[in-house]
Amino acid sequence: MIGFIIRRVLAMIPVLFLVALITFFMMKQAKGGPFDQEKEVAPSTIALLNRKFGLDKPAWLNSAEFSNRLSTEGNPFLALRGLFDSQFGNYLINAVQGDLGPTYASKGTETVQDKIKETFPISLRLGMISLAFALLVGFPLGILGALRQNTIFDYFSLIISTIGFSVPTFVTGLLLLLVMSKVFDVAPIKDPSVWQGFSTSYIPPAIILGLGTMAYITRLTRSSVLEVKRQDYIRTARAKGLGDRVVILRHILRNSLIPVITILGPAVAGLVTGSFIIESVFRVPGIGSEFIGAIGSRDYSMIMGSTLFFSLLVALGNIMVDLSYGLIDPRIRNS
Amino acid sequence: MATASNVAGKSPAQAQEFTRPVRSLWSDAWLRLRRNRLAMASIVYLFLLALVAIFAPVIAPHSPSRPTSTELRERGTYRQAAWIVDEKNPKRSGVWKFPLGTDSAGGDVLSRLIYGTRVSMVVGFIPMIFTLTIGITIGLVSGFAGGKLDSLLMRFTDIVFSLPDILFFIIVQTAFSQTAFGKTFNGLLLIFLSFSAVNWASVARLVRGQVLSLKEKEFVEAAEAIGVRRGSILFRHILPNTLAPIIVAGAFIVPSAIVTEATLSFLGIGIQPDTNPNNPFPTSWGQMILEGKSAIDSQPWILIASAIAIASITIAFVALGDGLRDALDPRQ
Repeated sequence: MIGFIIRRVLAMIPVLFLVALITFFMMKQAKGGPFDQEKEVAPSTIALLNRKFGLDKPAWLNSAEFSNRLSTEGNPFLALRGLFDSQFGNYLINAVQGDLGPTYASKGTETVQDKIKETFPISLRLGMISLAFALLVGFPLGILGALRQNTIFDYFSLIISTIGFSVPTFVTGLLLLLVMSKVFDVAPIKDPSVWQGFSTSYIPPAIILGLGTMAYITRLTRSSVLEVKRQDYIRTARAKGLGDRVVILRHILRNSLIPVITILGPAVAGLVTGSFIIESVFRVPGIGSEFIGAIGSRDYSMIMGSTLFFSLLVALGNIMVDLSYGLIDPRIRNS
Repeated sequence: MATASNVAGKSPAQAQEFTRPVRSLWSDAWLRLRRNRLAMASIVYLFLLALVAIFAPVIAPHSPSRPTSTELRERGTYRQAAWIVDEKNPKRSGVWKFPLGTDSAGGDVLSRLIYGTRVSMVVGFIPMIFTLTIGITIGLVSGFAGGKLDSLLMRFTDIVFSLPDILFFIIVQTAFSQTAFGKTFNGLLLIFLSFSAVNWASVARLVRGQVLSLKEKEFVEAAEAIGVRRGSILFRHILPNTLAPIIVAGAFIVPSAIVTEATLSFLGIGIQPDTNPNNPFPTSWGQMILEGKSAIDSQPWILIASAIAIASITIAFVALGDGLRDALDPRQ
C-alpha cells in the first residue's frame, strides 16, 4: 500500500512539470509585458522592474551563465545551476520550495502564495458546503429513483440529474441570481466580511457549484443500485425471507455505494477548480475570483501560481480515487 | 407471379430468410432508440436547431451586427422584450418588431440568438471529430501494437488525461487569442484545437481498452488463422466492433465542447465579437450571457434567452447521448 502511494505521488511530478512548462510557454507567447499600463512608463523603470523580478534573464536556459561558471569553477556539475539560472529554472526551483513569486499586480509587495493563503480558505469552505449538498441530495435522489424505477420519483430524479449534469453552472447560477433579485428582491452581497467563516451567504453559490456533482452522484447511484438490485445475492436475501429494510440497507446500498465513493476524489478537485466561474458570478472573494481577475489584468505570475496550485489539487484528488479503490475493494488492493 | 417463381427457385433456407428480415446490431439499436421518447424529442429539437443554424440569414428578422445610426434610433438600446411595457421609459417598451428586445448596442436579441446557434453547432461537432480522430488513432495503435510503444503512448495519455482541462483552455486563450492565429474564424479554430488537444485522452483510453479485449476474441484468432493481414484485422474486424462505445463517447463530447465555448466566451476570452456584417459567426450564446449578466436589471431577456438556449441544447445532447448508450449497450 505504501509503495503504491509513493508510486502515485511520484507520478504527479511529470504532470506538474508539464503543467508548469505549458503555462510558462503560453505566458511567454502572450502579447504585452506584465508592466504594460494605460499610461506610458519610462523604459528605464521597466528595465528596473524586469531586473527586480529576474525577467532580464533568458526564458529557458542560461547558457551564458553556464559557460561563465564553468570557466570560473571548472566543475560542470556545480555550473549546471548556472544553466538553470533562467526565468523558468528559477521559477521551478522557487516553486518547489513553496515560493511562487511576487504578483505583478502588486508590483512585488505581495506574493502569490500569500494571495492563495488569503483566498483559498474561502474557496475551500464553499467547496465543502457544496460537496455536503451534493452528497446529501445526490445519494437519496439516486437511491429513490432506482428503488422506485419508472415511477414519478424516478422521473423527478432523472429530470433533476439531467439538468444538473448538462447545464453549465454559470447559466444556472445567473438564472438563480436573476430569480433572487427579481422575485425575492435579495440584494447582491457587497460586504466582503460575510465570507470570513461560515455564513448563509455561502448557500446559493454552494448549491449551484454542487449541482453538477450532485447530478453526477445521482446518476451513478441510480445505475449502480439498479445493477445491484438484479444480482443473485439480492434474490437469495429476499428468498430467505429478509425484510425490505434489511435487504435495502445491508445488501443493496452497501454494495452499490462502492463505485460512487470512488468519484469523490475528482469531485472534490472539480468543486475546487470549478469554483472560479461560480465565484465570479456570485462575487465570492475566493481563489477563483482572484484567478479570473489575474486573467483580466494579465498578471502572469498569479496565473502561473494558481494554475500550478489547482493542478496539484486535481492530482491529489486523482490519487485519492486510486487509494479509495484499494481501501474499499480488497480485490484491487491485493492485485 | 414473379415473386413466387423467385422464391421457388431458391433453397428453403433462403426462402425463410426472405420472410424474416435480418436485424443487425444497428437496426436493433435504432429500434430501441426510437422507443426512447426523450431521445427522439432531442433528435427533432437538434435537427430544428441545425436548420436554424444553416438558414440563419433567412430566419433572422434583423442583421445580428451593430445597427446603423438611423436603425439605432428606431431600435433603441436595452429595449425590453415585446410583451413588457416600461412605464417610466416608454422609449424602451417592447415592440413586436424586436420580439426579445435589443442589447446595449441596439442589436436585436432574437437575431443574435439565431446566429448564435451556428457557433454552438459548429463548436460542438468539429472538435468532436478532431477529438475522436486523435483518440481513435492513438488508442488503436497503442492497443494493437502493445509493448514499448503501448506503454510510451499510455504514459503520455495519462499525463494529458490528468491536465485540468478548463485551466488549460483559459491559459491557451489568454496566450493566443490576440494573435493572428487566435483570431482565425473569430477564435473558433483556437478553441477547436485546444479542446481536442486535451480531450482525446479519454477516447484513446476507451479505444485501447476495447482493442485489448477484442484482440483476444475468437473471431480475431480465426482471422489470423486464415492469414488475414494485420492491417485488415485492425480495420475490418477490430475497429467496427469498437464503434458503439465510440459513438456514445462522441455524443457526450459534443455538449462538453459547447459548454467549454460558452464558458470561455462568458469569461470574455472565448470567441471574439465581430462587427463585420458578413461574418458567418458574429456572436455566441456565451457572449450574450456575459452581456446579459451586466444588464441583468435593465434588460433581463438578453440573459434569459441565451441561458435557455444553452441549457436546452446541452440537455438535448446529453439526453441523446443517454439514449444512444442505452440503445447500443443492451446489457444495461
